[in-house]
Amino acid sequence: MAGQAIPDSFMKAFASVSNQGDRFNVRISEDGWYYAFLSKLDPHYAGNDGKGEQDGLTVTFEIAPQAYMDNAVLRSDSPMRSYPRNMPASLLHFEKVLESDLRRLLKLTESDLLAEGEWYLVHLESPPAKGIDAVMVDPDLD
Amino acid sequence: MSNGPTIGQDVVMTDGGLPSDGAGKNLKRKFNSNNPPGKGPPPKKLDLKPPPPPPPPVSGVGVMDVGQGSCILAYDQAGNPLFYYDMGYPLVFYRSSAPPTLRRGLGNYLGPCLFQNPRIYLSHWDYDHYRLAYTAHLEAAHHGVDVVDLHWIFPVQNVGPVAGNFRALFTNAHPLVAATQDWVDGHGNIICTILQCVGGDINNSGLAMVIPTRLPSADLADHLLVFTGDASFGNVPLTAPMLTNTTGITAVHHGADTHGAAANLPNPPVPYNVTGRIAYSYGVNPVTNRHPYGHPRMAAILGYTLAGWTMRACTAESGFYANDGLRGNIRMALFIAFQCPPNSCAFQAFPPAKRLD
Repeated sequence: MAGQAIPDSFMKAFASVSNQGDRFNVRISEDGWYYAFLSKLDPHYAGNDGKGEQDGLTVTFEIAPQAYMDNAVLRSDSPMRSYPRNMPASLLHFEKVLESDLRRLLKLTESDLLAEGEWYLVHLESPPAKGIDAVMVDPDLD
Repeated sequence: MSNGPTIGQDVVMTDGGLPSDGAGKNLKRKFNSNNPPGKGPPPKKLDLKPPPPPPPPVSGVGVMDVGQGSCILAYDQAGNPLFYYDMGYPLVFYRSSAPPTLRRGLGNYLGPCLFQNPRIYLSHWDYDHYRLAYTAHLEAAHHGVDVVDLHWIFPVQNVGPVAGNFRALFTNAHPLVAATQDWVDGHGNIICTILQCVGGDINNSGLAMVIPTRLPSADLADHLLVFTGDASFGNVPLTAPMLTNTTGITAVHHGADTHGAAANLPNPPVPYNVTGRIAYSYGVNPVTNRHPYGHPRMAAILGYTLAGWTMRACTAESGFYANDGLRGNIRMALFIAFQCPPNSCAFQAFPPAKRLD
């Protein structure tokens, strides 16, 4: 079987095309929009004795920039056979949030639409923007 | 007192002869390996009892102290790790509840036990039930070594991008697609049974674990440990023997009282005074004493207690809301030494007070 080395110019062209995706592969969204997977939704209780009444929710989303998800995951019509490696994922955490506030922000009209395992589209800005305070962190932090 | 020689001294034979005829014949008869039947007294009937049944493959489990999370490691009869049921670690916001030996970057990190590559069964795709494996991977990558390609069995559930990144790491990972599956050893003994939970949400649609073992450990009869992760027992399709032969459980969802967590429990068997053993796995911030998610809830504890699950231990403290820092792993069933090398993992120490055997 005869072979021939791929010319450098071709390799550079392939790399250049590949690198076009790099600008999407960052955790911070340029326009502030993220797809958010509701990963944990638990009651938050008053006090610290196991007896207090529920006074809100503790909520954690797994988020990734909308632009990345649109281009790397959603653009293809074919089913995804394996997960992309190193998705630009972060955690968005509300230690205590009122359910009514979260519903209003997510424009949820039915009660069962706020549930673990559901996807949402959220917009995040830096303080002092008006909205619900949360914290966004690198999940690999330890 | 005789002046004859004693054992250990030189002796001299000074006389001898044949025994009397009667004595000689009698000796020959008694010391013959092929005594004819009918001669001499009939042999005594031996009262042979059947041998005790062989022990089950699993000698016991460790409900490990990982902070606000869940991690259970099962051991074989020699003390070798067999499999995990969950390998969790606290969400980053609650990582201070983890013991220092599991926290990367604190200097005394030891990490989870990976001796002999134990299999891992995942209850459901919640961070605090799988993340310890990813932490171990990160630590291995930090030191430039390959992570063990662990053998995972996981439930088919929706996941987000953080869990997706974790899932993409492992090639030796397999979804459970059947309603139930036994893992059987080479002698046909069931090591464990996995049940597909039947609830609708992530917590209640994962995998439950049933392990035959000897609990109480002094008993020769096999009983069952049943672990459900965050799934309420009402969403676990336990069979009748499982409902009546279970002697050890973990508190559902770290002691939460949502979704009927402490309802529909199996009944501790009557021969043991209807007293069951229960491990509560949760975390406490050692500085603020804050219990993440408010776990465990007193209402749930009352539910377990009323149902007979009264022999209990907590991973995070000596008792509920004691806030005394007396944390540690809980050993259920047989207490034997582990075979993993010393100081090779964070799980080798079990405080004496945290035994449910």
